Parts: sequence; structure tokens; C-alpha cells
Amino acid sequence: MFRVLRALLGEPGRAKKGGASVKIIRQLAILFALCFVSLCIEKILPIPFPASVIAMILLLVLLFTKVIRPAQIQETSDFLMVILQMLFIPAAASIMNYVGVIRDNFVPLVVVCVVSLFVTFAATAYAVQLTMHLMAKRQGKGEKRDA
Amino acid sequence: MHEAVASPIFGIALTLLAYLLGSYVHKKTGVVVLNAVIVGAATVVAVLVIFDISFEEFSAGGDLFTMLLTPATACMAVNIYDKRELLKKHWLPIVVGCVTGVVSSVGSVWLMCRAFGLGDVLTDSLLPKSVTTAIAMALSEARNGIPSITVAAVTMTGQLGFMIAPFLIRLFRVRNPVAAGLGIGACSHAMGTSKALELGETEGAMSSLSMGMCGLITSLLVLFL
Repeated sequence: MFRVLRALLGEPGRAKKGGASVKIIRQLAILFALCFVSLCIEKILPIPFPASVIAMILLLVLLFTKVIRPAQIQETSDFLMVILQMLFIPAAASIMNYVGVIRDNFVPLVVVCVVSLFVTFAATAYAVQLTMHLMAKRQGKGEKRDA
Repeated sequence: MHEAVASPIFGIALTLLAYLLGSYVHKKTGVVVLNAVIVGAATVVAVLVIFDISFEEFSAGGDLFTMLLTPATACMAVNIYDKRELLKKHWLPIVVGCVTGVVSSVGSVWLMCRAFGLGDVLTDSLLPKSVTTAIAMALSEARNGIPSITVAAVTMTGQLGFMIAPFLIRLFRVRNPVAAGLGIGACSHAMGTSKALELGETEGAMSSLSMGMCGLITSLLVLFL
């Protein structure tokens, strides 16, 4: 069963007859199978956790355990990243159904976005600088002790 | 005529054309706010309103694009994996920074929503607004928020981050490029990352890592609220 799956999904780097188009079909098969498994997990989980993030975590695990190599999904992955902006258009357009809600809460919505941008940037940057500063200090101490 | 509009082909064609128009306008004018998503969505809305087509009819095809967000989000894992050397080298500052960023973003949004007396639906739509659109939308939907309001908030945040990232670095006197990059990615996701890439290689790589990490951490945190 595993061997059949391997043969179907193909070894990376080994050019086969059928060329580029079959390669893309294999990549799509890997990605959509992964997404379907994630969707099943989403339905089973008792908490609301989105399938897309489950798929991202699963793929991360599969990549780090080297079950999937980046080359096995590269072209499709690059393509999806290039067209990512386009995928948001229908969702963004559905805002026409909520014009009233936005008009009634326009000022709070803008304030929340602007203020949290400043807070998040400052908190993250300072936390990183503090961590790196403490690490450097600790390392300095360690070196002194060694000497 | 109306039967043709109800076919998914209509929504697919309209979205593709709206995207092309949006990218064209963005390229020609160079105005940040006139990007492919905003101009594209405006085009779709305009066509639907002018020709009196319901959003449901458009959705028959439009939903296809939204569905593709699941594999697209999964592919962000490739981006994190590609930067595993950087991740290994700076793992502690990255984890500390991203957790702090997520907590301060979600926390400040929650507090302000309460202060303004925004209802649960709007609060749930805004909580994930600092992370990349695909993840933010999914989180908003999972919590019964309104995904399109989330998209609007995420886009506004991203645009603003793109425009003022260099100003933020000067305002808060952030001299370390790792800190600056992680900060930009945490507060303004993909749009901010494209600005961070202009600022420098380290800033860009860190911002893109931070965007992915913050997306993950936010999904985990938002679960427990």
C-alpha cells in the first residue's frame, strides 16, 4: 500500500515520462489529500480549529520529518503563493452584505486597527531586543567564567 | 441570461478579470491602497450592483477561490521550512517575540472592542486581524465572526503597516534588524513583509518567519478565549 502510494506520488528529482503536467497533478494530489485529512480532523476536534491551519501544521511536521520533500510540492506551492491575493477577492467583496455594520462602527474599527498595530510592533520588537540582550549578557558571563 | 449568471463560470470569470484589472491599476498608478485585492473586490461589487446580480449567484464561482485558501495556507509551511536555519539560529528571540506580539495584538484588540462596546460578532471578527488574511479569515469563521469584516480589518492593518513600517522603526528606536523584522511581521503580516524585504534581507526573512509563526500562535491562543 505504501509502495503504491510512493509510486503514485513519485520520487522527487526523478524525471519520468509525462513530464511537467503529471508532476503538477501529483503535487495537487498531495496538497488536496493533506487538506482533506485536515478537514476530517477539523470535524472530529471538539474545538473550533480551522482546517487550513491544521493542514499547515501537518505539512510542517511532514517536511521536518522528511516524509515530504519541498521539491514534491514546490511548483504548486509557488503558484498558490503568487495567486494568493486573488483568492481573497470574493471574501473581500462579500463586505457588500455588511455595509450597515461597518458604517455604524467605522470609527471604532479604524481605531482598533491603528492602535493595535503600534502596540503589537512595539511589544514584539522590544521583547526580541530584550531577549537578545539577555542572551548576549549571559553568553558574556559564561565566557568570562570559562576564562 | 440570469441562468448563465447563476453558473459558477460567471463568478470565476468575474474574479479573474477583477484581479487582472486590480493588478493593472496597481501597476499603473503605483498607489499602495489601490492594490489587486481592494480594486478587485470593488470591481466585483460594482458589477454585481450595476447588473443587479445577487451575491449568492456570484458565490457559486467565487467560493472556489475561497476554497483554494486551504491548500494555500498549508503551503506557508514551506516558507517556514525554507527558513529553518534562521529559525534554529534565533529560535528563542523568535518564539518570545512572536508570543509577545500575538498576546499584545489579541489582547489590545479585545480590550478596545470591550471599551467601544462592540458586540461579540465584531470582536470575533477583529481578534485575529494582525495575522495573514487566510488564517485570520479561517479563525474568524471558526469563532462565528464575519470573515469579510476580518478581511477588511486585516487589509487595512497590512496597508498601514506597509506605509509606516520605517516610521515605526524610528519611532520606537529599534536598531536590531532581527527585532525590526519580527515586529513588522507580527503587526502587519504579508503586506508589512513586502516592505521589510525592501528594508533589508534580515528584516525581510524575519518578517516572513514572524508572519507564519504568529499565524500559528494566534490560532492556538484564539482557541482559549
